[in-house]
Amino acid sequence: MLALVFRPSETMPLADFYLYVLTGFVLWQFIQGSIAGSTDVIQKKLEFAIHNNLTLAGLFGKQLVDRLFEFSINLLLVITALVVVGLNHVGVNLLAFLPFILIVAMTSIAVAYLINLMTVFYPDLAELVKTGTRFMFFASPIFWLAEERAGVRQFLSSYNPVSYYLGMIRQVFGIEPFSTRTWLFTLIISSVLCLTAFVAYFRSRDFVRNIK
Amino acid sequence: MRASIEIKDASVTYYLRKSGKSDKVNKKGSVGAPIIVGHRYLEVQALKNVSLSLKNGNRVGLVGINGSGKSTLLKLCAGALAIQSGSISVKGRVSPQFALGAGIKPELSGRRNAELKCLYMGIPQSKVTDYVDEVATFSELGGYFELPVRSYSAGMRSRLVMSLLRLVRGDILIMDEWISTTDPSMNKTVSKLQADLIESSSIVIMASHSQRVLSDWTETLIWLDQGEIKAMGPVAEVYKDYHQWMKKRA
Repeated sequence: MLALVFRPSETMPLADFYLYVLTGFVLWQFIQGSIAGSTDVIQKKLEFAIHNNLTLAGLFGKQLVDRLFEFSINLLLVITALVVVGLNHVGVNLLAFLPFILIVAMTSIAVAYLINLMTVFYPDLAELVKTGTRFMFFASPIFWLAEERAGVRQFLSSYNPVSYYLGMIRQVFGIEPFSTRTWLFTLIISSVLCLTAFVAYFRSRDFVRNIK
Repeated sequence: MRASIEIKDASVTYYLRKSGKSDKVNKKGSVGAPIIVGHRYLEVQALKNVSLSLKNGNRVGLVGINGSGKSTLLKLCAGALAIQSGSISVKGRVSPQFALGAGIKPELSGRRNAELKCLYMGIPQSKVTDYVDEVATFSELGGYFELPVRSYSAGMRSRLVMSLLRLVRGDILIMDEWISTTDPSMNKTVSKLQADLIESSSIVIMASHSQRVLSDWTETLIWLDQGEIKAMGPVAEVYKDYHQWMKKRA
């Protein structure tokens, strides 16, 4: 609905713009869940996890599965929309869905742990993270087109990492042309995040349980 | 499976973020470990140089005043806390039962909680319905089994939690003192349930203030004070010493 309320792009037909916004918004909800939904996992859910035979890593794994489940429900909506208004978009790009979901899932769990670790050490950051996520929504090409970049939009499209992930899902569903640059950038960003989270996890997994 | 817990010279410290003035936290109370004011955190050394070796068949009780380290030792064995020094090795599947209601989701119904518990406990999908129906019958919650747990009274909640214990599968059973605080109308069934649970576990560690509970379910008693093991031995002997110490203290 929001795609219809907002001024559609002048360079993109209405149906395409609808798909563009829908795919972006669906992935954004997943990203938002990974960031804003991870500020209190250890603080509030570790005891529940321990009672149910889940380790610290298992707890974050379960959170990821929950997010992926919600994401998959939303993807059904994307698929339905594609069938109704944009079947012509579906093509060989769909093969990239598996690497896409792998990259997104790994990045999601890494970001979730890093965010949670920061809020364990600095609890006041939780509110900042939530506000920052809301800001990032407007600073990401969800309702506006990355292609029509000029001025601030150009800056945001280039330097906001979220824009690359949004580009990736749109390329998978054929809404944007495939771009090696987008995939290369997401791979670099995800690798850095995953490596950082991996090191942080092994250095903090013991100590973090004793902070109350 | 041969279950075991080996703890050598383990020390556990809690860290709490400093907030406001922390000059009054050094004030000595009658319970709990001393609070150390660190650079960024308040540090509570809940366990100090504790050594413990438990093997198949051991049934151990923990006794001590509030803040003596009982729950910390239980949480350490369950993996909910980490050691700062020493070593710990736990072999076998641990089933922690720390508090009444821990491990259940208040926003979900009794049925959904039972289904979730089944999945977490690794019960095959094909048997989940049977197990859940068993829990529903055992809890005698009737229609309340379909309502969110947050709408339950304390008694109803304890009925659900007790019934869920039927789903617990573990080599090492860790129970905090809530276990004896159930609805009297369930005592008989709960006692049977506890007996089954304890019987099927290779190692049992249980914290309680009740001599009856400790004598019924454990053979060895560990008396903790200020995070250290003050005495360890047969339940009757250690409890007697503890009781006398408590009297003198009062």
